[in-house]
Amino acid sequence: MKNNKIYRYVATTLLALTLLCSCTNLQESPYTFIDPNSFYQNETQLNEALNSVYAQFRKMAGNYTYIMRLECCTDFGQPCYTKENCPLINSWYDINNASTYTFTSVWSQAYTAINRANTLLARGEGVDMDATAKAQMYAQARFLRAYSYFILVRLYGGVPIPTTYTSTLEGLEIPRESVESVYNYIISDLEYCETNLPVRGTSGYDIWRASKGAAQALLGEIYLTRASMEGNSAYYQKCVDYCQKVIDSKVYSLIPNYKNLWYAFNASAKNNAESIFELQYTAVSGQENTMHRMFGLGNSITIPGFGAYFYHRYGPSIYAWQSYNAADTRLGAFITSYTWNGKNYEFVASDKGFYPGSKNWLTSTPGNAKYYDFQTNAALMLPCANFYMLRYSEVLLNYAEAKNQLSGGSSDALAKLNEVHQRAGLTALGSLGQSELDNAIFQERGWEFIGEGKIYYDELRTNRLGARVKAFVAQGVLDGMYQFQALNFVPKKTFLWKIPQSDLDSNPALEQNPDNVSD
Amino acid sequence: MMILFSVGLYAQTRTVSGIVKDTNGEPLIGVAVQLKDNAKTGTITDVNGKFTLTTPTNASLVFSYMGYVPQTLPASSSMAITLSEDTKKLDEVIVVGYGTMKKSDLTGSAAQIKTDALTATVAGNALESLQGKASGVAVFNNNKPGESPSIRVRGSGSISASNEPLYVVDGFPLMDGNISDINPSDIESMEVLKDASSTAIYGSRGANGVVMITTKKGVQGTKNLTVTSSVGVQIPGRLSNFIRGTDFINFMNAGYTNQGSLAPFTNDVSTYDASTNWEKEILKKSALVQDYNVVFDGSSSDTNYMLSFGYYNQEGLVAAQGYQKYSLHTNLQHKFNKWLTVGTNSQFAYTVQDIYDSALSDVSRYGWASEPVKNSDGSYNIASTHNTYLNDPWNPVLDMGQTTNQTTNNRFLTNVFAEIQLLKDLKFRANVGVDIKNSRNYQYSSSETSKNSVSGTKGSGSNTWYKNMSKVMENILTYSHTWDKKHRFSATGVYSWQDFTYENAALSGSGFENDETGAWDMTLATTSSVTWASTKYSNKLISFTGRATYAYDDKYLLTATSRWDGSSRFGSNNKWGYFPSAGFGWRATQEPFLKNNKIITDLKLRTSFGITGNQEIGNYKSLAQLVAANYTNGSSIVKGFAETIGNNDLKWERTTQWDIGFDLVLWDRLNVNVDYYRRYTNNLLYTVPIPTSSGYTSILSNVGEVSNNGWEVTFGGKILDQKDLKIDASVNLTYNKNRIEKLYGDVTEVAVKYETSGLARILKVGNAVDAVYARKSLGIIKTQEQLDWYKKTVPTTAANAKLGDEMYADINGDGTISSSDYVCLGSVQPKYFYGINLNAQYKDFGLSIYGQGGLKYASIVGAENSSANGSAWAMSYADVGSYLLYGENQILNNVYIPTEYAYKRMWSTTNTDGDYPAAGAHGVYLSDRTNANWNYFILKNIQLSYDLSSLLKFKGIKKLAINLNFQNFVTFANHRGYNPVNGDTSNPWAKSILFGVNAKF
Repeated sequence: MKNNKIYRYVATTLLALTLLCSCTNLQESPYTFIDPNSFYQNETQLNEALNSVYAQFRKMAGNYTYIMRLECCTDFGQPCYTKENCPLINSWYDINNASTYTFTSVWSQAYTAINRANTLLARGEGVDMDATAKAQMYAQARFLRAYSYFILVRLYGGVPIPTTYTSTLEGLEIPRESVESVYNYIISDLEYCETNLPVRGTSGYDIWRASKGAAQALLGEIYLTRASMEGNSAYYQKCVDYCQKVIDSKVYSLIPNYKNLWYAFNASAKNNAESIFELQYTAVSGQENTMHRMFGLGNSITIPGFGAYFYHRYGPSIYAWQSYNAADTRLGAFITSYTWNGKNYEFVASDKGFYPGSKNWLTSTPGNAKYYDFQTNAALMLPCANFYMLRYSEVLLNYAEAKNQLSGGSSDALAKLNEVHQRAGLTALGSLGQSELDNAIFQERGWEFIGEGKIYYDELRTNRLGARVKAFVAQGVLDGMYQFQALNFVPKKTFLWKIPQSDLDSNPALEQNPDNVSD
Repeated sequence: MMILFSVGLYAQTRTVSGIVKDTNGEPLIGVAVQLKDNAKTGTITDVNGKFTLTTPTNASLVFSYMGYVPQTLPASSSMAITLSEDTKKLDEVIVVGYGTMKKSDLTGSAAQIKTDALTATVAGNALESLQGKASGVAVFNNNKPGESPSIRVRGSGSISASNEPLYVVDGFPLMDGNISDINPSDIESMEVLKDASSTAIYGSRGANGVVMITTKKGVQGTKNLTVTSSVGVQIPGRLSNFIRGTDFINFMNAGYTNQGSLAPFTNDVSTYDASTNWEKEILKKSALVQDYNVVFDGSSSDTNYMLSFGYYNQEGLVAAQGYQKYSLHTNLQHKFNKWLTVGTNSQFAYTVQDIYDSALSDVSRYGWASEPVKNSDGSYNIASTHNTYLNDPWNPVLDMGQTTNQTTNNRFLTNVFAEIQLLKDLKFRANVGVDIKNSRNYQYSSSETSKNSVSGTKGSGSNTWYKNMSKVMENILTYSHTWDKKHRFSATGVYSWQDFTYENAALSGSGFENDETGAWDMTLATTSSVTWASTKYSNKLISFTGRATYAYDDKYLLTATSRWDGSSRFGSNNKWGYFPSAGFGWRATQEPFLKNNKIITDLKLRTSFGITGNQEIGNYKSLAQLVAANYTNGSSIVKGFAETIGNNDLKWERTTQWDIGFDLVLWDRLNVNVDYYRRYTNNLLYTVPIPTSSGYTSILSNVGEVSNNGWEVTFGGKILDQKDLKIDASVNLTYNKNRIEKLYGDVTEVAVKYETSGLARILKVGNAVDAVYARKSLGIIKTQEQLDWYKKTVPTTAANAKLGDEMYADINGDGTISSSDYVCLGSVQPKYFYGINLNAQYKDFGLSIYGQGGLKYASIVGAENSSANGSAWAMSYADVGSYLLYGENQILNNVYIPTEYAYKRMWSTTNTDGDYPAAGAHGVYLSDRTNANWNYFILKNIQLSYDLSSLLKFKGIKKLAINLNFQNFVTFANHRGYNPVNGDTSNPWAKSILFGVNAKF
């Protein structure tokens, strides 16, 4: 009996001990990611952090809803479909509503890019590497940060400027700075970039990265914007100076055949001689360009030879398309006909946007091939044309506009305008007075940059937006254009979008922009 | 002396025989007859209730039979014994965490459902049978073969964490909650533990209730072979009946004209053939369902065993759906010697599930009655290629045959235990268990599907493998002792360790060369289209648990539990949580003043209080992470990494629950159970927005408070209890009110999602956590006066309004209808839900009916992205997909097809009293008229049975019964979706007629 009891206790103790030995360690050890504090050890890893800044900047600036809203609210874009409120955007409906009628993701996506840039600048301090290479990395981060702030300040006005990257949850409620402070911050970033970024094409430096020319071109655009908004002619001079530097560097030139700028027609279009800074895409999941899909030729169709499947939200406005000179080679960037399964589809302007059209066209507008990718295998559903942020033709037009403001009717300005004008197969313009030249430059911008997310900013700063939108929508309603509704609001030069309500709610220190008043 | 002794011995045995009957005079088969002094000597009664045994003289025999009061009688040569049923149920045992308890000692609130009730319904998942059986437990079916229903015990407490209860199978707390792999026929009993006193023992996992599942074990002294088989047909029920024929033609013309487009059918109505009934074309007329089970259970000297095999096969009413399950289960318990018992509970299931979800969801959008399924040349008709009103290529009859989505699971759930009797009152048990599920999913859409054939694209497919593995190790020490017959005390201490690991690997690609070989060989895909992914994660839980119960004189009962849980999921500042509870009960009928009361035969009052937790907050959420953020150079990937911030303070959600109730038995035949509870959850997991200028939009934190208060009532008993006719019935009713008490900071309202359809999910203090919001409807514009009034009240919104459109209330009086005018439609869970059960027995015939219903709730039907996980509507209980309301109400200017019910009621110039919007109405949104105040009732099962046992004179057959079941046959709902509860129309509603045979040998 006693032995029996001993056996019991021994058995129990042994059993209990083996089971109690299970670890008491409750530390989580994730399998698929590492602790950020153990990263940033060397140059390769810092470079990987830099690539994440590019990725986030692309996410913000290449977001199709951002481009769509920018274009559709001007006279250069019109809605094709009701989804995502394009007809309401076109008619400036409820424009003071911070919950639904504003850019819902630009603000938060821009700040994520800014935070990633700040992270790199802070974490980079601990990395042991060549000082020049490090300065180049810092400069690229600062370029992207400056560009993000530039987009924010033009849309919303003065915005908060975090001093460093976010590492704790404390002290995040920072207030907005003034427009002046934001521009000063941007300019100081870009001046650092101008000093530290290599010229494009420098051996060993990737062609897709931000370069000295990009910083200078961006500075030119910034000074032009400030000059138009504030009426300060000193800024026009600065714009001319920076554009001059870009022109004189002889790094960039206009591509002679306009169609060769676009990946849809030219497999070597990416990062060409005219490109100053582009958003890069490729045919790998997560790296594709959704603009092809969202600004396509019809609803849920795949046309053989025209790349991956299309939806359609908006397209270039019919009136803008009709405004081109018949000889303008830029018309070649529009898709207005194709054959599919033996049937011919052709865009007819007198269909007034209704579809299916009289010649079977399946959407309201011509297609804009700037977004399309006909090269990549359609079945992959990964269209990947690049998207221009800055091009040489813009530098020429910026130079022309600023020079014209400084000395009206300047022949130097006219010459730059004609470089762009003649590249498009048109005859050179003769000498013009200051305001006619200014209008001609603006007209050139419209023909050159339609669909590229630029015209809104140019119309706003030159106070053309309100009048043009008013005439455009009135004409469309009069003509019975499909999806056009009476204009609800006429914007002035001082127009600022409302900060998205969800971003406003999360930071009590932010003050919302006052309601815009219609002109 | 020796000779005398042996002669004496010889003279002292005798043969005893007799017959054992019950109080009705029926012989009892299988009664254990044992020697009082030596339980090893014994026999069981045969099919006639007779037994024969050789016993020493002056021996006493013990007669015992499950469910009857045992008797001990002196042996005599010819005995006639009558055993009476044990109605007092004093010794009935209920399974609680880490052990069992006498039901009479229970101070907590728990519901018990036994095997007969569980197998009355034939289903692939045992939880289906739970519906309507227990108060406080809401079961929401997902009518897809092989899917597990969703359970809510006493309402939803969480916003983002899971609201499902913890499932414990034979003591193994599952970390992967899907119990469809368990064969319902193997289950002996299912207990649902509801209040803190019962669930606190599961600490950080007990907040949403616990469902304990105990499988059958062999019983001492018996040996059974049970064979059950059920075969039946499912037929489609609750058909929508979309309009066809001239109604369809007229409707389409009226609708499109009203919208300002051209009428699609310009010729005379009689020239069109609009006879296609898409619903009937998509659904099969009937589908087979089969369920076969063989169970061996019993005991043999020192070993109790159970061995079962099962096969379940359910064809889908949609041809591409189906579910099959093969299961094998064994429970073994062996008493090795006086102090050591070892055993195992092991089950294995192999299931194959074919899924096809979207066949029916778009019928109201694209199912034009004028479009045939096939063209005259036999090829499938894809309407969008010639019908300019239809944009998307669609033909589900074609697509069903061209798409495969199949998941096969192998699940092995086993637990091995050793129990050591240390002292008379002290027992130690060690459990080691493992739950492994390996799944493989294969999907392929061929080049012939409607979408691919129109665009000329080749097929695409994927192959995915998953493994879920959970290991558990427990040490349980139990002490129980009774002093002076008055003080009954027991204590349990547990140390347990459990972990869970998930791994998966997935490959997908497109452009497959041959449809015949599908995606089985990934090398046949276009190389650049192939994507691959894999992941792994795990979590761990360590706990110390204790429970003490004390009963004084069977009158005053006290239970106290406490548990410390450490979980790897919690942030580094909060790794351990403490969860205590206490319960008190008073058996009033043991008091002298009630002891022999004829009216109140049993009364127990009980109350409990405790704290439980919910640790289903996901893995690694408290950590800062480095995540991939790749860029490209225009042709290839350049690697990028970005960091995120973590929250070291992250911890479990905490629920404090208070319960008071009583269990009353009147006249020894009527039961009344009433519970009132208050359940308060705080530290809710929620992604709290933080200033976006930080670079982040939100961080997961513990904020917010939600309360669930309600009461549960169960009423039941024997209505008639006579020799030939017995009727008993029970009704249970639950009321639950859910309320958000606090969000975070000063915020009282958070918009989670506003949809274009008009539905919104908003979290607002004072309303339910799963409430739906939408416009308030003022009805249809029927007269010109109403139209003028509406245009005056909301000029911009009603600028283009016409007769037949809908009017909405301008709640904030600002002259427009916008999201500020939304009202709360209430919770998606019924405010009241009830179950009714009725059993009648007339001689050998039996009838059993049970049904379940719910009142006053809102539906998310029509929501754009309504899957059960990871979306703004994640609080809902099942995937819901339906455009039915769009068709009935012409939502968002879409001329979708209505049901006949709605069409008859649509407003028109010839039906000016119509309560549904006119064909082609403008600006109609989902509102309280369409999505609020839903109610339903399902008569889940009507079973007719006939017991053939009395007709049988074959030796060895203990029972033979046949039954006929009508499942889900009768439903009432005030909407026309297939699923009467939530209105989902992506899966058909199956009514089944089953014929079953139960035999016991």
